[in-house]
Amino acid sequence: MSDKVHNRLSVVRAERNVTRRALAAAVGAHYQTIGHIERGQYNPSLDLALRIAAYFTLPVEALFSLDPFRPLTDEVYGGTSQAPNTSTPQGGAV
Amino acid sequence: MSARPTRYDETMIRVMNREEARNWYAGHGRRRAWTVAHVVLTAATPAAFPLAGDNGALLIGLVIPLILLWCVCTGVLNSATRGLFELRDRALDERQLADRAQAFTVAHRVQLSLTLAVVGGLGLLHLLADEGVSAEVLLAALFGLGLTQWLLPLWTAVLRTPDEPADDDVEPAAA
Repeated sequence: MSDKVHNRLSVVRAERNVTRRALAAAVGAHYQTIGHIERGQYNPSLDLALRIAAYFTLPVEALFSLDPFRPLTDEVYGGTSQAPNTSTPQGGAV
Repeated sequence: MSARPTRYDETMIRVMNREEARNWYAGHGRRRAWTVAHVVLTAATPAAFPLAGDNGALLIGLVIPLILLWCVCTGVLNSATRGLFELRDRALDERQLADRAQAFTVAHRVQLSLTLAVVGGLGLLHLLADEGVSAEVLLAALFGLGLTQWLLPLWTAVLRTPDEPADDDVEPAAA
């Protein structure tokens, strides 16, 4: 069983200009929990992951994945990133 | 959070999440130091009673400052865990509930080892001492075990608490 769930929560949160506290209040979690998810120190339950996805009106797989995320620019414009380490996830690892 | 928090819960959540003393317990080293201080104060407070003997003034002079310091220290530890053992289930989220359950599990294992060690020690004392184990020693051992049963989960939780996430990059929107 994989114990590593990758996420791009911090990227989406910054893009939408949502603070940790605002997101935490909206999904019924402690603001530190949001920080721990972003830092990859806590894997959210399916329930919490779905609530976070619903808050951003995104599919849950846009935020959480068992595989590292490709950089957003690659996903939008296609191609492969020229970054030296392409395995680095876009967001933190959960 | 499982059910709707009451007004009491909301007050307690605010109290346990105050930011004023955040630097006091920032970093593992500081949290460890506070935990050690709390263990020492917890042991020193009941030890003051036999030390003071019949001297009531000395007893009060020792116990009152120790209890006050213990209360401050307990407050810092509760703040460091954001009220993990002070808030009710409905006031905690899933990560906090998991952290609390983990702290209880670890504390339970340590408490079991402590209990076995104390019982073994008392048994050995009973065999070696001519007059056996006195009632005072037995009561002190039971009292000590009671204190660890009560406080070990808190100490465990503080020692296991990870550092808080770095400050938020996103600024709150102006009202």
